[in-house]
Amino acid sequence: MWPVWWLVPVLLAAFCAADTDPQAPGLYQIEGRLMKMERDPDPEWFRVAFITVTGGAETHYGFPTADGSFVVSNLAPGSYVVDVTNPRYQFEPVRVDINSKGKLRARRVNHIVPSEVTQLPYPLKLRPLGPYQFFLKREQWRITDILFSPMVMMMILPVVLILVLPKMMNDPETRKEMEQISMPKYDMPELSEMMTSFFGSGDKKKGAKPKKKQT
Amino acid sequence: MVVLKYLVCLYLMIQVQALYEDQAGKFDWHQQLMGRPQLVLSSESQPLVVATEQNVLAALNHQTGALLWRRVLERGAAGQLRLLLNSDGEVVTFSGPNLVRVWSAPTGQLVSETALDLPETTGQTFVLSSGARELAVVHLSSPRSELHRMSVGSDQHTTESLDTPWADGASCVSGRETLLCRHSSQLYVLSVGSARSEITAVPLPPAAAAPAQLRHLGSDLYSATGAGRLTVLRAAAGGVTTVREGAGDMACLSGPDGRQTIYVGNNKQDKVVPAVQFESVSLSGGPTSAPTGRLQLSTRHGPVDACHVLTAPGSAAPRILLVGSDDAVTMIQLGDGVLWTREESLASILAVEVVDLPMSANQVSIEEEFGDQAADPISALLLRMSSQWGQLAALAAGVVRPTRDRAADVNHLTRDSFNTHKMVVLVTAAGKVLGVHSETGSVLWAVPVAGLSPPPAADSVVLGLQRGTAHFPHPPVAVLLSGRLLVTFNPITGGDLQAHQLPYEPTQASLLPHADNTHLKPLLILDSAGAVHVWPESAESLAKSLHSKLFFYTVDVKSSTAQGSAVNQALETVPSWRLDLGSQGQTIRRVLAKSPHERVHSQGRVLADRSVLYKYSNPNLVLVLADAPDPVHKHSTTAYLVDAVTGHLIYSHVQRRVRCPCHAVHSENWLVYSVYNEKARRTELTSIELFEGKVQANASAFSSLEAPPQPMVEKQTFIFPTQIEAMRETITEKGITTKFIMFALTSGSLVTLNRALLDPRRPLTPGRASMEEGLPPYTPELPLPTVNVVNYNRTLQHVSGIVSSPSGLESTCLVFVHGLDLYHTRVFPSNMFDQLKDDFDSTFIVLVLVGLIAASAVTRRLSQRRALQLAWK
Repeated sequence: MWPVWWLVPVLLAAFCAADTDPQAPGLYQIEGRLMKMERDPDPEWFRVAFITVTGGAETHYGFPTADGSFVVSNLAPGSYVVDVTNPRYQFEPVRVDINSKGKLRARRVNHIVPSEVTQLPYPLKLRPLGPYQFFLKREQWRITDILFSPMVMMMILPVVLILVLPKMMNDPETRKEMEQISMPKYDMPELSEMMTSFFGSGDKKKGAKPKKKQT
Repeated sequence: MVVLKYLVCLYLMIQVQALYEDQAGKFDWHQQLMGRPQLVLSSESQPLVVATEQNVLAALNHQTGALLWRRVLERGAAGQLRLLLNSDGEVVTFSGPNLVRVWSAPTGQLVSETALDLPETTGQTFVLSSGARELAVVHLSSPRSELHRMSVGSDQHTTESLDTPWADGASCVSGRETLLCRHSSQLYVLSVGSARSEITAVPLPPAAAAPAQLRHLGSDLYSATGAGRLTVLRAAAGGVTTVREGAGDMACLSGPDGRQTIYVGNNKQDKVVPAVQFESVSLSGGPTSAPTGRLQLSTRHGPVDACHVLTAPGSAAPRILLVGSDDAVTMIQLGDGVLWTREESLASILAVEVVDLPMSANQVSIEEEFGDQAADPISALLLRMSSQWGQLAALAAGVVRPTRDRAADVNHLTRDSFNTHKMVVLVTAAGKVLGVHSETGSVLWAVPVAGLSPPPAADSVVLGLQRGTAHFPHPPVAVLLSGRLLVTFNPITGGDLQAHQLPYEPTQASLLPHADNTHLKPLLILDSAGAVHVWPESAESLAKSLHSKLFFYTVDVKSSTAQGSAVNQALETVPSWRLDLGSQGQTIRRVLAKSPHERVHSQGRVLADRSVLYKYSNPNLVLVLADAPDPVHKHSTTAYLVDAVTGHLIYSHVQRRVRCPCHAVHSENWLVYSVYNEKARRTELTSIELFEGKVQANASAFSSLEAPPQPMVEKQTFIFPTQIEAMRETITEKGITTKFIMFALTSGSLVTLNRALLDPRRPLTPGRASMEEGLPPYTPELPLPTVNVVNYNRTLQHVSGIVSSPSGLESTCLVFVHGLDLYHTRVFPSNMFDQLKDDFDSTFIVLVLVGLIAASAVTRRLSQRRALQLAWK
């Protein structure tokens, strides 16, 4: 069962393969077309783009004409990888196999399983996948990043404690509540107490008056 | 969960080295080159189009010499440009064996392409053209040659067979309708103008005798130059007539048929400045009104070889394009001077040495402060105060005169504070030595060296730094050995150049690692008779005292043998080992030792169980890559690891059905090499790492003579997704930073890859131990994300080498890539860990500081008022 199913795509590939007239005995050419991007913001890349055809030791070059069609000649039978070099868009490389009779077959490049054949149309149609991402994005400065960073949180929390707690102490009801809670008394003068007495009375005159009017 | 952790780990490993968009062009520069022009085409309405010996078709701006567009063809004969024509505003080229291409002159876009139906040939190919579309291709070989006539765009094709028994060893030049060949004392003219071609043999005019070089001038005129004499010949179907004979070094032709003028140039010397004297000769007879003149060229350039007249007479003074023997391309206007110059010898770099710039007086005083440990505190304080005063003065001077361009003056070059600016010393195949500033890419000095070109073999040029810049008052000295020619010079200024012809044939040369009492490292030269010579000869006693530590190895690529030898008391070599691969049918493709400048930071690797696996750090280890045809597997490639002192074969690894091109890097205790797998039709990287084991035989030094037992060898092979042109590892000052490998690809990218991804100890199945060590699991295909492309959109073509050098910062490695493009950049393999990042927000910090100071001032004032009010209560 297995071998038969394996053979089907291979045979299909052989039938579908395009016939080319050999341009010299034993040498063949790969034809294709480089597709432009629709609404391309920078069409300049197309002028400098070229096609590389690599197979083993040697590299052949092809150059697209204004409509994108290209021909790479003088290729001996073998397997080649066709890729587009340009500074702007990324392309998917295509493997083209030329057998000793000059039949051509294009397929997807699969380095891990070289025997797997995913047929692609021939003559080649090379379309850009998308622009190259050569650069990393810089992190943007946002106010929330600063506010929620642990350092800032650590700074804000004591400020809140220092400014808000004395006001709660000034409120007579809370003071009563606090007095009800029996706290062990220390003789030692505490720094926080000194701070609250120092700042707390100052805030009373400035900040407390408008609040009373509202309530 | 484990898998996820691995993916994160792998992702972090891949994405270490990357650029931000605003960093483009900040540390890097790029220069596009074209090579030595061979064919030149110009018209007044179009850019100047040239075809070069490096198989590049390029267009230049007439006024500035700037490259407008460039098309790079295949290397070697497959891309050789044989014909360049102008046809209705388009450029027609014939390249390779049979390709006719038509290009648009203003943009370089291909208009049409035809592959002519020509049979393959073993002989030389010449292309003649009687019109823009009528071509005659001659396949010249002995005893019979073939002439194919064809017209582009139609199927017409006629073939003629010609009797050419003289073709072997003939030197030929193709013109428009004639092919002129010289063989011993005869000139042969093959004329294709009429329907039937004919060959005429005439005796050689005496002035065009053997060493003279033939050139085609235009229409049916040729020049033969040699030994200061120049003969202009007119070759036609009937034979050859001499038009002019006299002194001259080059000739070029201008004007339409019938009213032609020949400009004859003579190389002169105005004291030391080279100059060209032009005189014009009218062919129609009678006096010529064309201007003549004498032009001084720069001392950076050698004598001129060829010239091309660019504009028609009748307009102002003619413009002439000069091509120097040192590949410099100069555009001159007669009577006006030099318009522009391009340094095209940079397209054929053979050897590179990166030299530190000298330290400034301030830096020296700071070094002294830390260098003298035993100084008493008061003198140390005085030294510090004086050095800081110097720094302050330098800062003030920089503020007062900020625009002074110090980089342009070679005598005042100084190191920057992180030693990232260097002098790149280059030796080119055109016989020129140049100094390029690594920060700007500008050529600071250039010296054509007579007798250096052509080099005997590309890899036989030895360039070394005998004395660096750190030994004031001794000047730095670099040494260059090419064939029998030995040149010493100052690598910073290009001055003090001295050339010597050696009386023996050098086969191997290397710098002695020990310096003599003037801090000069002597050059040891092994000659073909097996004797060792020392340069300078005064250091012979030093070499003799070290003879027991000297060992040589030589590799003969032709016979594929490597042999090693020890050195005796009389500085003669005693053969000690021999590795003969040629007798087994193998061909040595690559030999690679470790970089002598490399420092290994850590002696071992800590494993998950907290034990240490010690590295096998043998400095004498050499990798030899050889391939051989295999009856069963087509090709097989073998990697040999040889100890160059003892000849001990430490390891060998055979791969079947793979072949070269092989590229390799060799560093610390690991090496990586690339091969092409013919069966799977992909490039593969094999990574080998050597360990001594859990105990170290000798912790303080490695000796090949008392070598530890066979090392443990770890190896793995990975798939590399594209084809490699060159590869090199990063190198940093102390070797602490992670090693990356840089690959130049055929697509023109320079990609970096973390060495940890090529670690041969990557496990097949992930486990706790490998996770703790930070080893990602084995994946067959290596990832090459586009953010790792360090040259972003600046394509580098036909890369011939990558040079990496350390900077003063441990995080930073300087990279110089040469080929048809020159590219220099900095890479940060472990990111900038010892430097503030570019995006370090100094303004924010300053704002916060100012805000805090203001807030403290305000609160202080408030508290003072409060205290006063309290006191009044």
